[in-house]
Amino acid sequence: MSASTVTARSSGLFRLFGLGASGPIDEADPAACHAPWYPVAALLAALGLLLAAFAANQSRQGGAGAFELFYGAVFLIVFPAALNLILPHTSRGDRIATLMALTLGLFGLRIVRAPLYFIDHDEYLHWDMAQNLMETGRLFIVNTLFPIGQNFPGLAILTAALGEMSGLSIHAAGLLILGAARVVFVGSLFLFAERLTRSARAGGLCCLFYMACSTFVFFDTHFAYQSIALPLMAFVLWLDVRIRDARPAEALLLLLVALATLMAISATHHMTSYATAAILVLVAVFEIRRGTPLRQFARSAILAYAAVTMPLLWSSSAPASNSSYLGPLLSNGLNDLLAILQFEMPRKLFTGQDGEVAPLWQRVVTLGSVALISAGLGIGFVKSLAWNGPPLPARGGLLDFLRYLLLQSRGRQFVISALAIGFPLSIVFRLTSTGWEIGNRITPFAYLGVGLVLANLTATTLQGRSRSPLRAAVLAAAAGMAIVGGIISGEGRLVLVPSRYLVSADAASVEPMGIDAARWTREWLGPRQRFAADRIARLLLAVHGHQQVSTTLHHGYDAGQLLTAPALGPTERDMLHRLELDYILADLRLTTGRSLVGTYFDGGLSDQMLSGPPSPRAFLKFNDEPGVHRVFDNGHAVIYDVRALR
Amino acid sequence: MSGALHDVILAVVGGAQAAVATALVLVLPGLLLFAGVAGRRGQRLEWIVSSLATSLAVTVLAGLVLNRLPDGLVPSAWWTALCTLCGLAAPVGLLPFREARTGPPPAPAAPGSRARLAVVALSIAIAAGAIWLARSGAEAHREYAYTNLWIVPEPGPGTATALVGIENKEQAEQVYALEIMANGALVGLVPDIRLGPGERVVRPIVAPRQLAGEDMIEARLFLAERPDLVYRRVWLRLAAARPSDVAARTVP
Repeated sequence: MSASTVTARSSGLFRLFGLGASGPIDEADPAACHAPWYPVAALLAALGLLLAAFAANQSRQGGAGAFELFYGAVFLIVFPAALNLILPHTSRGDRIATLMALTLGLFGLRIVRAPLYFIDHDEYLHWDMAQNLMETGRLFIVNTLFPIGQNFPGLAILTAALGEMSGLSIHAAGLLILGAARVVFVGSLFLFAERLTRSARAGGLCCLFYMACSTFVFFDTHFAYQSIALPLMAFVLWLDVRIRDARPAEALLLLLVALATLMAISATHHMTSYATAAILVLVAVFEIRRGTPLRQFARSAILAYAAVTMPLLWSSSAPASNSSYLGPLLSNGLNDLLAILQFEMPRKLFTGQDGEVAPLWQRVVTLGSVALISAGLGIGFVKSLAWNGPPLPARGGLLDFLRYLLLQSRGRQFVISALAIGFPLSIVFRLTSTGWEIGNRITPFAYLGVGLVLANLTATTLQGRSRSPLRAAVLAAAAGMAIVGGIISGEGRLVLVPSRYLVSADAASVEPMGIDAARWTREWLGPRQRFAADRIARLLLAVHGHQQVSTTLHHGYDAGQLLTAPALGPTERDMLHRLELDYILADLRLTTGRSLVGTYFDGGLSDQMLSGPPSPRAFLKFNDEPGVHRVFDNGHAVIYDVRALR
Repeated sequence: MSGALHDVILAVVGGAQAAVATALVLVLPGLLLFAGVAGRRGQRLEWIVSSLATSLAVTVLAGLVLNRLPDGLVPSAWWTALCTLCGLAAPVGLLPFREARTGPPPAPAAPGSRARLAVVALSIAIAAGAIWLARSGAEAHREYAYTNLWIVPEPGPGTATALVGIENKEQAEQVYALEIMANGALVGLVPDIRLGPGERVVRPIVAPRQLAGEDMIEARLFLAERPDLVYRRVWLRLAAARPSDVAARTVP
């Protein structure tokens, strides 16, 4: 070892960023660990879940204080577990059990929120896919609601397998699969971070801080493809570090499992497969840089090659085009981003599309959580990039600093920590009206880095070796606030089902009357009739009514114009003819208020032409149309038989 | 007695089937495959994660393969495929993999006194209670009180022109009156239709002989308490009336 690379103290930029100030995280001596606290964490998590159930019922009954009670329950689930994970003298087994109690407690929130059936928009898309698969026994069935979904049948396959073999409903089978996936996700992330940092404590903390991701508690437990793909990605990342050090026979087995998992990810979710490929390629590049032994490099290279080629091969053989789905999303988001750079604010923070503003305390908690995470990243980012790296060089000038970071830091540690750059990027996208979807998609990957950086920072600096319960309690409270803030920014006021129907508000618009109308169509009109309807009604018609619904994505025509047009002119009649529509469902509740999600239909021309709620007169114009039957009326939804017009 | 016994047997068989199916889809392929790698080290989390994740992945791949076969993804094919996968995985799990040199040390024996287990069991019971509470709360959500009224052309070769249906979802008993209009003239009246919560009635109606062409037959529903206000209305225009695609049904 050359004298120039060994230093007792860091200097220059190294000292500024805290590099070399401490070595690997000390693991607690098993003999000095406190008695296991996981039973207490589990008990309080269960009580928190019970409180959350009360809050959900309170919200359904329109009672006051439901949101405060709900977020209090979330804090109760998080705080004791966070405390145990932060303290240095907690045993590895206790950490794992505590982490699982926390994971399952938070997963329980999605069940008490929607205990009877799936209620979110994307869940309906995948529900329809699984249902089609179970009915036909075939994959790649055209899905008009979600054309790109047929390319990624992983979740539908799992649900169909469990549903058909067990006799369970799609909802029950889906929850079991999602629960298993959640255990895989957090378990894999723990094992992965533990291997990277050589510390069970940092592994647990990485998972804890990952949970502050705005998509973790709800969006990534939706019955949707990313909820399965993300856990499989975490599993592959763990296998990657596991394979690196494994003996040949074991490495071969693990490599085969990793390849099978990469294939399953490719068949499950596009974005996750691309992100996995990017991470594994970067890791392989860093392996070359560090002069890793050929055998270890070969293992990384094989995984990286497979991670790149499998999604490409899968996409090239898929029936629908990914670009038609992701392309508009990216271009709209980038346009909004450009607007922000020109100091325009396309979206009002904490204000729904219907103009309702979030309560002050929710705004404070959300901004506070963003500020806490930003501060943590600011302090710990560079340190985490170089964590557990080789000894520091003698000098700490800028070039030495960059050379060290890029050429000598540990590859996986560097790559995963660097993902935290996605955090501020996702925040900027969330400021836009259309780009928030991109922000939502970046967040789960960015938080791999955020979790790791904050875990290193907490384990070495913020709590360090201190056994002070007060210090740990402050940090646990901050973690609790970050997780609550993540939920608020991810779900807003739709986190609980409201007592009354809200206009075009996804989960808050899915209700028994709409479901009943959809079921009626199946019973009395028969399945697979061609329907035009609004954004919510067509979900219900597809899933509960087994109908073929018209969408711009699939058919290329915005059937919303049929409802919003003041009269049936030649354009509308031509559209009716081209779409070969049988029925139109007009939900008059849409005419009573602004859409909470910003669109009533597909976000196309029919939405863009509206400056307020659509006109009831336009919806009811079919009453006067010769040849049109009004076959169903429940006081809000009216179904017209328009077969004579097409 | 024999009926109750039959139900119990069916429930037990159904539960066992669900448990075995869940194990086959979510656990067993990976569990057997990794028995030799992780299971022998006492690394429970590693084994659990590997078992679940591998099972999820191979089930997805099995589905892709089954789709290529003539029968497709049917229950019998699933049972065969996943049992075969378990059969293939089991011998691999028996291979004598040796411990790798690097990596974290094996986990210490999990702490678990009876008191701790009792607290965990209590936690599970409370969590189950929370889910039950949420379910009962969701089922009791009473905001949506409504009545469905519909009219469809008579699907069969019967003598009726159409079927009119009323379904009470008002969460309470209701008394309705139904008017049948032909081109705006009253041709039929059913004054006292009493329906309990969730009940429905379907009535065949026959159009007057003189109706044809663009003539319209309309059903108007009134609540008995508000006879001056049309509560629901549906209609058919006879010239364009076509039976829907649904098969002929028995009118209750």
